[in-house]
Amino acid sequence: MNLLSLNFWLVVLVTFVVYYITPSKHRWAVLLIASYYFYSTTGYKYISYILLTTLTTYFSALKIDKINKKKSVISKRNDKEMYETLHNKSRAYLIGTLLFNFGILIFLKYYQFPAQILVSLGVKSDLVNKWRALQILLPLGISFYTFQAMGYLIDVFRAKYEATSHLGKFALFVSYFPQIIQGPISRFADLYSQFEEERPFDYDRMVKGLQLIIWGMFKKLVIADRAAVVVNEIYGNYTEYTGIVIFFGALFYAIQIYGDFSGGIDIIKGISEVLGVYLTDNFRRPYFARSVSDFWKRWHITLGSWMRDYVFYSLALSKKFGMMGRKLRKKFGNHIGKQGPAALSSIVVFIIVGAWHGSSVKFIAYGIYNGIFVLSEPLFEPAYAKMRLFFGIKNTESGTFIVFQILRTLFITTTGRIFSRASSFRASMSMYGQMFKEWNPWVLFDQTLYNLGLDKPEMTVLFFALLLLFVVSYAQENGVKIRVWLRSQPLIFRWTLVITLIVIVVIYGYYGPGFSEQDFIYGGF
Amino acid sequence: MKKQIMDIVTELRPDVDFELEEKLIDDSILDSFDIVSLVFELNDAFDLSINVDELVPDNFNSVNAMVALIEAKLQEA
Repeated sequence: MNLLSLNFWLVVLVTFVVYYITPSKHRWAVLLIASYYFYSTTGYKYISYILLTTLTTYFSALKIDKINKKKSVISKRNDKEMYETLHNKSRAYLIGTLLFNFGILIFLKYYQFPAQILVSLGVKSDLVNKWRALQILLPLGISFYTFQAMGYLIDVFRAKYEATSHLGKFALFVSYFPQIIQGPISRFADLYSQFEEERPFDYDRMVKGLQLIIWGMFKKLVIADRAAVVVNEIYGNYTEYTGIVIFFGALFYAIQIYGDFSGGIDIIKGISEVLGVYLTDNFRRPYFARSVSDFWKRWHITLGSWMRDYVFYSLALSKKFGMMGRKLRKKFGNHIGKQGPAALSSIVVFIIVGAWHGSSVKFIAYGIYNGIFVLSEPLFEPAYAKMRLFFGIKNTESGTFIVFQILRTLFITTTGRIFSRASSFRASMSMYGQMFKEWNPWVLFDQTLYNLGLDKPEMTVLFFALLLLFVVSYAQENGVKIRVWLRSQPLIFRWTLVITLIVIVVIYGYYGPGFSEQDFIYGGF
Repeated sequence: MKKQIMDIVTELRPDVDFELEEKLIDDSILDSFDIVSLVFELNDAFDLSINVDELVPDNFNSVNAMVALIEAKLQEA
């Protein structure tokens, strides 16, 4: 069931009505039933996967919490041996549950990968062919709910909070239906507490939620799906294009994926706000980032912060990485010694994030590409400082330098996406080659750009839609809260603006053959 | 102890006023690379081992919070 399908909106509407006529105390149950109903529409057999994750995490967290409480009573100083025994026991529960749940995720995502390698090595056998042909569909949102549940379990292990004993509300935390489609990956403290509070109907909150839904649809239907036409043409026939046209393919994909993913998240957040539940931000105007590391703090924020808290710190602060840092310090000096463990950990994180996108070499390359830029920032900062001195740049907060940093970051992140969007690693390398092969600025002035699937009027619509997105983003970047600002405007102006946006979405939304919109890119994770 | 920590953090990030800042983590003044470096420095300076589960904002939002964390860790050892 697609986020933009009529059936999905019927589920939302029925949930909304039943939710608010049910007494506050039991509203969580309405959301749980709606979530499981929604999940069952993708196939009943998938319910077993989410149930397994819910139950193993729930019971394991309770067990770990019980051991934590025993640990806190005896304390490390009084009985070190007992303390260590208990610690190891709770660690065994943690690792067992992590292995089980990530094992399911990894198996379902990568079971074909070994067969692909065998085929590429020239191995020919019936078994390998059958293996390759085997199709197991990924349960909806398995990455998102697995990450969310495992984050909770690790936090209970780290004694950040107590385990919940309420199985129903915990099951809702794992399966909450607006966010299970494509995130955000919520933290227990942020989401679960909202299921415990009484949240009466709030007209303002509902209106603000609806506004966000419309804005998300604008980003998805007017911008992303329109840009997708050009993207599909260039990536689908990349051998026919060179130079700036290839760069345009990269640029349009950057536009498409932002509109698609952040638009989808806006719709999800909006629905959730209508139901009285606030979800964490997943984007903070990433194309205003001044460096690649800044970009990753603004793009898919909840995945980035998950990786930081549960993978990056665990690796960087481990004993092995600590020893490596000392060795690096002896060999290469203080600066490299201090930054080395963090730099290596960030490369590992980016490879994992790359691999998370799919079982293909191109995604690993995409991860390494970004990781190299991120780790180069602190590692080579002394060299960058010398370069700034050489070019006489004293004020790094000047407007021109900031614009330079933003454009540089935009170029790096945009062209890097060729790895992830191209059909294969080989295709991506070929595209990079062709991009730099020919310098053809005349395509900007002849009719070439209008022959990529969007004619002049369509390109004009896209241009003005992007201009509106830029103006709104620029205002937000400067601290303006658009929906709060809108609330303070006269009623007539406010509604004129909202209705105009709805009309724009209806008229200028890009609908494909048979008026079927494109699937959300991150809906497949 | 506070002076020793002040020296470490000032060397790490000379651009930050550590006497005044009380939201080093909440306001993202220190990034994840800074925090890893800082933990290594503190571990070496005070001969202790700060665990990943102690990386909560409450322990690193200000130099005073870091002093409190290290005093508690030294007492525990």
